[in-house]
Amino acid sequence: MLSLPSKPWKKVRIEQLSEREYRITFVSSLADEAEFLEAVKNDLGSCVGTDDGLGTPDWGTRSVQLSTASIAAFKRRLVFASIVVETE
Amino acid sequence: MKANEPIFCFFCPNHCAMTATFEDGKMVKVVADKKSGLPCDICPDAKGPLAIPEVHSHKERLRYPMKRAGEKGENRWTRISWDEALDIIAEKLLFYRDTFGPESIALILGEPKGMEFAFGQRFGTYLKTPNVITPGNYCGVQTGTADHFTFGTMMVQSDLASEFNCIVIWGANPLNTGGSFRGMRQAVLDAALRRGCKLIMMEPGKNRYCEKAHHWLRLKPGSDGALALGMAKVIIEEGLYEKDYVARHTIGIEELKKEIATFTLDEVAAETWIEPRVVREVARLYATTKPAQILWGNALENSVSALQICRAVTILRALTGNVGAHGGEVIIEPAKFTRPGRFYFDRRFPRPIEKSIGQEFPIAMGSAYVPTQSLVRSILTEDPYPVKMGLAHVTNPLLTYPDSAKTYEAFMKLPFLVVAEIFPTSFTAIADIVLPAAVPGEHDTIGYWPAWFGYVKAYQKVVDPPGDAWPDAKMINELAKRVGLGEHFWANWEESLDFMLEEAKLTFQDLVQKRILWPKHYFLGDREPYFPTPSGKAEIYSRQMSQLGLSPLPYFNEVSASRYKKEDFERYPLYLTNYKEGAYMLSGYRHVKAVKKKKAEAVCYMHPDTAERFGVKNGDMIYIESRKGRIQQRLETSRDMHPQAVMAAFGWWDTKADKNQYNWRGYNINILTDGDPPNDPATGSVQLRGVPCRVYLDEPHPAREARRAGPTSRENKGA
Repeated sequence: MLSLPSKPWKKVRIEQLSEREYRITFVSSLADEAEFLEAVKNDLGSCVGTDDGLGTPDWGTRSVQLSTASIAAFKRRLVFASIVVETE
Repeated sequence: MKANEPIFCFFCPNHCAMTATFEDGKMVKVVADKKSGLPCDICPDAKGPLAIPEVHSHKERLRYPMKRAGEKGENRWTRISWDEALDIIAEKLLFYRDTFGPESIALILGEPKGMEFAFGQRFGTYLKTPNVITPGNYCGVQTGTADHFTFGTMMVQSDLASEFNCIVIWGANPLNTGGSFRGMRQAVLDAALRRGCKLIMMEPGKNRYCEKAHHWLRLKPGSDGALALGMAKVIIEEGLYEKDYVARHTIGIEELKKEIATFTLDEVAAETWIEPRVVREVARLYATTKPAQILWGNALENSVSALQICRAVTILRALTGNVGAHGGEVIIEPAKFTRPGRFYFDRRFPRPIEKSIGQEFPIAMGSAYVPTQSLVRSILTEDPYPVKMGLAHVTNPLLTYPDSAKTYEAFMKLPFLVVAEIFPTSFTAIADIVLPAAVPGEHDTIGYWPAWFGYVKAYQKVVDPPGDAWPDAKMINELAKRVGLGEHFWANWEESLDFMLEEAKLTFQDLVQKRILWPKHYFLGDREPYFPTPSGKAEIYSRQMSQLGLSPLPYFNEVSASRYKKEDFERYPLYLTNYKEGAYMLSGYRHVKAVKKKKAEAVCYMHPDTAERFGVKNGDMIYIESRKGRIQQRLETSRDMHPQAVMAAFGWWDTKADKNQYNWRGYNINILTDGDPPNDPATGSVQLRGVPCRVYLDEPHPAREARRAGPTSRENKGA
């Protein structure tokens, strides 16, 4: 019954930019841009709600912009994608 | 002509290896397959060997699809063909999906044996309903999630190959329920006890290991978390924890030290009924006798703080350095096969959690189940929307969901209910369509359950199913094709068995030859990091839980929480808990005469002094009453019981009462339980242990009631 993942954990930093805009930056190391893009698409992509949106990934800063009405719900979903949030 | 075939038992989660003997094509005998080297601890009641031949040929097996002939619940039926049955169901599925949305359809699943659970989850995915209901909120998820947050994986098992010197059996009855969630085998445990291994029992009632125990703690039902934190307090304050291990391999000890300073052992005693002296002795014994294992079970999962209770217990393993140690508990890597998640889910069709019933429970949503009582509540209240149809496979919610009366009311209200079953039950009695299910041995299938054992087993067909019974997986596969989802399923459902084994580079026939694929065991030092947590260490303090909005530590106040208040015990001064039968598999297989001979009726246990106080005696058919209702069970008095506890039998109904929906009201403990909030905030678990109750022989009489209320009530009134 349990579907919690067994893949290696990734760590992200979340910074609030405006009321519902956030910057998500991967803190843990990523091998290359392809891995980064896959992590954004598959891992973060699986965590966005129906009214959320992800911007264009930026490999240079390892970050992507998130638009969400509920950052708490997004953080909860990150656990199930094996992503831990760096302590603020 | 005689022939022997290898099979696996399906009467408890241990799924022992057995050999079936056939005469002229009929299975006549089943015995343990000890030569195979596979797990085959035959339970004392030998329920599998006794029951399996009879199950295959039982005259009361469901044989043909049927549709309701009378009023709902009248249990009158007309035989129909599979084509007609599937056409009716498909028409309803499409109608409700297109009219009310896919979320108006609930998939209702029970204890998996083969592939039926996997097919149910997969069908939910492609049908786009988030409402897949399973018993996860009181079985398996709480213990598994506690291990996951603490050790990074739910795959933590007993090391059976090395000697161990201390065993704690906690909320489990290994003889009745197939070892424990740690995969311990009885033969290994018995050998250890003969060698002098210390045994600590956490058990308010009695099972057959209690008499062998060095310590037998008859704790208050549901107070396990308080006891575990009390033990942690002793272990830390007396410096008995494994300091080097804790420093190198764990995080969060400082936070736990702060928490254990907030309560006293007297408070633990008040909560648990266990004296501080005993808590100290047991904590010292467990902490200083190495290696040690805790075999935990289902009882820990049945309360409104179940996840934190399980966390409190599993943290003891980390404090004492027993996880990863030879003879302790070790992380395993499951046998290689297609991960169940890959079978259940598809990234292209994410489960629409935002539409799910029970979405307030984050672990339930992450673990792909809706808590059972959430479904019942939604059907009755139509909040957040009306549920119109249920498709149930090998489950009996009237016996196994909390608050049976409310569950009945809900399913009677449901406009369309399909139930696939092996035998007629109270749940088939209230269905609109009944489908006859084949059991393992009557079809090829793969057993990957319980998932935390890490095995994959081949269950090959050795006997024809009765009549026109089908495997549940075949039913779902054919239904999927009829509702236009065929591209996600198989032309012949059995092709899915090869799909499940793709990653192992095996076919099902290859697995039949091997019978089993084994997990790998890893000890500390075998891999880096050992614990697959975000920190790479065992996390006493869990930041993941914090991220989920849950307490990162098991706090004393939280693990001591019950859904019941002191006032509830004024009218109902006893604490009800329950036990699973040695002779049966949960509420199932009650028609089988061979096991009925072992246990013919529901028996409850009480201390004789308590019985006297309540005016009942050994052998009486007594009433047990809670605020939700009352049932009858036969009383057996035992001085081994705690005087404030009643231990009742789980899963009883009457196979002969076909005119009365098999009398699900008569003896069923879930008439007494309650699924209403509060529930466990993470998993949706409900309080099934420590339910306030009272007992009597006949109708309560006001004068006798005052006497029976006893000192607990007076104390409460004075408080």
